[in-house]
Amino acid sequence: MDIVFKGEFMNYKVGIIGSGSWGTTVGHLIALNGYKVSMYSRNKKQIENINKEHINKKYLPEFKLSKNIEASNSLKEVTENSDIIFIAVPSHSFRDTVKKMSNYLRPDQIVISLTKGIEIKTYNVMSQIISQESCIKLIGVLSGPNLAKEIMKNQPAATVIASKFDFVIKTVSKVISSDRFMVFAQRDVTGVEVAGALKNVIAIASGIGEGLGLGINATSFLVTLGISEIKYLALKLGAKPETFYGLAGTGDLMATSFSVLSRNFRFGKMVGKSNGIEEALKSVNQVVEGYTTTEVAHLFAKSININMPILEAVYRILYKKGKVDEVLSELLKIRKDYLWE
Amino acid sequence: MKKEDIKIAENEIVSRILENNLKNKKTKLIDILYDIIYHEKKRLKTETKDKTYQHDKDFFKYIINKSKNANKSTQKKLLQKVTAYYLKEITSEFKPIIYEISTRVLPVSISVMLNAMSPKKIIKNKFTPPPIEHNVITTGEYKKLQKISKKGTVIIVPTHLSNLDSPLIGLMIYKLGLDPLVYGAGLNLFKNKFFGFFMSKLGAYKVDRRKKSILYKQVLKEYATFSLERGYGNLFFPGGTRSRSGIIENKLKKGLLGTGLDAYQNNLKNNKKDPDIFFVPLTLNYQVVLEAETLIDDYLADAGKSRYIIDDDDSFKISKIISFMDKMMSLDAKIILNFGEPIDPFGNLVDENGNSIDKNGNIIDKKRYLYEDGKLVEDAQRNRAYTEILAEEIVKSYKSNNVIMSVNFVSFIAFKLFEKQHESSDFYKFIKEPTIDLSIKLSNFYKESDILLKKLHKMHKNKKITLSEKLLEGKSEEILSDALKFSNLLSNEAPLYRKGIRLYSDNLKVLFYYHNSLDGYSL
Repeated sequence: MDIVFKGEFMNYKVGIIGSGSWGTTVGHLIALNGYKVSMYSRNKKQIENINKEHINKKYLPEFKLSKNIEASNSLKEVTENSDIIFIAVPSHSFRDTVKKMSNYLRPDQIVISLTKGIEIKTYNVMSQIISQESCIKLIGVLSGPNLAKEIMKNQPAATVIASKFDFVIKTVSKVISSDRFMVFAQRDVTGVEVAGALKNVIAIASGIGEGLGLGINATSFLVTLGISEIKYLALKLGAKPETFYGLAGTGDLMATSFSVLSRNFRFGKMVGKSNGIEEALKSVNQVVEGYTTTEVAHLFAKSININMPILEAVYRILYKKGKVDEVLSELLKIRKDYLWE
Repeated sequence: MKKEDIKIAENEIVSRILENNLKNKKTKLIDILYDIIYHEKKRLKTETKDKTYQHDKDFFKYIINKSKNANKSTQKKLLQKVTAYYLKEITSEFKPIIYEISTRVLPVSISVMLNAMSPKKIIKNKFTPPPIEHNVITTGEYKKLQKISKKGTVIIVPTHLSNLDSPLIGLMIYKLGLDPLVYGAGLNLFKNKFFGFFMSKLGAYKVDRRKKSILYKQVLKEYATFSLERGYGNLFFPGGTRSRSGIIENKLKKGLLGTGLDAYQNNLKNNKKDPDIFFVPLTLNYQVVLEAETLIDDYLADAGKSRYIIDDDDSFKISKIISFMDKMMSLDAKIILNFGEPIDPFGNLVDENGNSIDKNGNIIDKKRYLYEDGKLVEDAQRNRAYTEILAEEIVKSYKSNNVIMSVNFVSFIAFKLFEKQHESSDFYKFIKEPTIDLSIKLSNFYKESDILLKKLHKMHKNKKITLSEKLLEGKSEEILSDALKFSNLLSNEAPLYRKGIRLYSDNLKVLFYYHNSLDGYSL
């Protein structure tokens, strides 16, 4: 965490692919800085809502959006006409979306992933998918403790932009940073992405703990173990350990693991209260990335022979019909001897 | 480079290097000069006291004296002087006329060498070079290479196992009908009778690895950049030196690789016709590596940190090379040069028309990688990041085009089985001085062999690795007996041999070396 850039006006056009709550929030932040933002959505009604009433009724109904945001159902136009493009679609449709965009992308465009996840089968993170499926090299990842609703309420927050390219870092910071939204720069793209994806699993674990009424001591224990577990996996992939003490690591994990505003936490809590998994997913009513990530990460950890006890516990509960209290009490079983931290 | 180009190069490179150093705000000119003085003093202390030594000593004494209290304009002059001095040495042995002739004659002489023909036989055969295609096989995307070399300038980036690599590549490039390549070769190779003869007369320029100053590296890079801009194809070994362990390169030197992008950027700035630069990865694969034993000794001695120069390497006496080649040919050992898909300086694939394409087949307007806010902008950090991406792609290409031959395959299994038997945890001690008599049951070997072969076939199909014909078609028994054929050629102490129903090793080091070509595939 070293460089902080102040926002200043330039004539960039910004595109947002996807109109979920985080994509909309990022678009709104940029639009407030005076940039024209075009937002791609497949839903005609949503487009009409955004363009006429300036409201995203499905995901952020209680907030008025900046009038600089214009929604469109043409992926071609949004992609072609933007200098900087943020992609905020669920990880399972990420590759397909980039593939479709690849016809319209040019090498001097910047593409930023807002999606946190690991792809099934390939174990790729989103930045890898962008580079595999398109001509884009100017790639970045935005991640941090950023609960959409707090930001929409104009509460202060900070985030991390990670990229191999200084040009990407400078440009993205210019368009998005403000008095209420501080941007930190990072080179460790892999670390930021792995932390961002896997913290969702830990948030589910934390939610389960809360749902079971284990208390804050036990939940903190779970979350702390969780971050060292994630770190261990990420180091194997070439990430830097420092990243995990920063905003995209511990910062994001704290916001996600202790707040009811976090979908993954809410989902975990429902599961902990012994509601069925189907029901829990339904009640959140948005994509719960951590649910898919749990299975992918379980398979990935297995394939590279890494032991991740918390991930395994969550996996057993979500996918192997493990009884919540049994699995967790086994995980938290008091041993007679001690362990080194 | 041709005579007229070398003249232009001298002036151009001297002025470019000064300009670049003046632009650099982090390092002052005087720091560059102090860096030269520091490194040259250090180097000269260990140098043999010959004519070159005296010449160098006098020159750098002069630079040291003049550097004291030098003002900016003196500093500039001194920097130019040292640049010109380095440049002269780098190109010194180069004789353009001989170069022209030898590009025609040389391949024949290498061919003769490799076939270990006696001069008498050559005269009898009326000077026709014997075909060596039977043993040295060119495969992969070489047809694409032939096509794109007409559309732009090519940089061949091979893996590096042996000192025979560069003459072999030179020969094959000639056979493919391409122009000879410009390349840097270690000073020690020029001193060797066999290689020195070829090197000085080919497109090779001298690289003295003992010279460590910042300026020296700048001169080398600028020389390569300039030659690319003039349209000369280059040969870089991006691993920097021969692989000591036998493991295929996974970390590349980005300094030299980056000159491809520099040249492309300069070409665009100067509105050059055919500005494109293409990288063509190439894996070199030997059934038997001539200097394997020296290399692996060096690797183990330094626990992985290789010395750059092996002075006491006697593998390269002409007589030794000839007898080695002779044996190799009679045992029908293969050398495979496997050309990978060409890539642009940004790591994209290039089609046969020289267009960069993305995975979905879209043509990429690649000059725009150098645009910021709609115009061409020089950005050193950005270019370094592009070169990192390029390096990753080259490493990927190496991995999938690395050809595994019977010796590698058999060594891998046998070594793993020997390792399992050994109980001590000190690995290096184990392979240097095994204290127990090692042997494996043939049946165990075949069991493991069948499993690995199945895995490798699948990987070959998915283009994660390349298998030689023998591995693709043969059964475990055939592959083992093929590999054992070469055992005596690998080293004086056989790395692997068979007695009854067991396999034994008298030389684990060399077995380890050949086993290493399958390292890094998570097998």
